[in-house]
Amino acid sequence: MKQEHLSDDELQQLALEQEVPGQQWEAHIQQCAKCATAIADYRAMFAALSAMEKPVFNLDMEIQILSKLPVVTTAKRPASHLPMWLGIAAITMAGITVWVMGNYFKELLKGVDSMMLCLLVATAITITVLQCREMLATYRKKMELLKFYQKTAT
Amino acid sequence: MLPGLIKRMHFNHRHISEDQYLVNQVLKGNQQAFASIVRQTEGLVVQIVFKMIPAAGDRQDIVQDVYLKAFSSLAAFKFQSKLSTWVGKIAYNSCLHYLEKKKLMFLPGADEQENGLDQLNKHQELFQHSAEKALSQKELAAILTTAVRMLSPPVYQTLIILYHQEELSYAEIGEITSLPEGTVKNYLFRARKALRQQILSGYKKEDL
Ligand SMILES: [Zn+2]
Repeated sequence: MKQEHLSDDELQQLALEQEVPGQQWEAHIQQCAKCATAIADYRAMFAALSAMEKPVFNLDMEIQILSKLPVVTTAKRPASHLPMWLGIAAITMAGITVWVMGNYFKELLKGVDSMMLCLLVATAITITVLQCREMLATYRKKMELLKFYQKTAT
Repeated sequence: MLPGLIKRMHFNHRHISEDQYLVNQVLKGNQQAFASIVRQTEGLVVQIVFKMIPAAGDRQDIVQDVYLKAFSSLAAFKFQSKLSTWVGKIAYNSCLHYLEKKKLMFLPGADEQENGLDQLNKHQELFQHSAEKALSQKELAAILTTAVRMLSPPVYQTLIILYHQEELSYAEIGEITSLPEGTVKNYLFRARKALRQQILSGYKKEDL
């Protein structure tokens, strides 16, 4: 049996199930009630410390914090090439159509005033562009949301 | 490996990728991701603020301030520690800054200390008369709450709470408090010893 009692540091380490160098302590605590009691006391104290009530605020801090956050401007990401290629494809298709069907269009628009024609074309283009923009924005939002929930679910 | 060590080996690749994902989302403007960060770290931040700030009325503003700072400096986070440790460090420094500004010591208020002494004496008297009776964990936790508040220097209180309630490792506590790991260990040994002496002196004198 180790003659001296264990040091307080050793008693704590044993109570915390941390490694204590040497082997003599094992035999010592089997025969020394004082050290064994001290380890048991420390164990009880550590268990009670983790069982202590944790402080909380009366109100929901998460809501408070989020309401005070500055508005974030999304960092500009490198522009994707997809919209550009789609645009080129659309213009090419329109060009081919006009080239092939040009004569029919001329017949069709013979009686229409040129001012009226410009107005019609401008309106059609504006509506198409706005629709595309909205579709793209909705798509992006949905993808972000999907990615976020997929990640938080795992 | 021993269970006491395994429990505290938190910093791993899963944490890094989780943290990275959340930080990237916040930087892209996703406020819900920041809400997740708040949920994950709020317990730790509240513990630090409650332990270090005696004025209950100022605690809420400090927590708010901690998260505003974390939000605005998130781009500078380099993933060299867990995100929660980084937020904890901001909380600890904010509290120190507050105490410095108010020219307060990192100490409980005089009233609180007196009150604490009264409570501790009351507890001790109670158990002097029933030394035979084993304390339930709940009773011991109640006594400890007071005893921890009496620990001096006050940094011991924070260290005890971070290690035993928040289950942080010595290294993580060192990161938060900017103390060397060896110092954290040393302070914790002393704090635990003081706690045990303080608690047991009243009702188990023969053990000391
Ligand atoms: Zn002994």
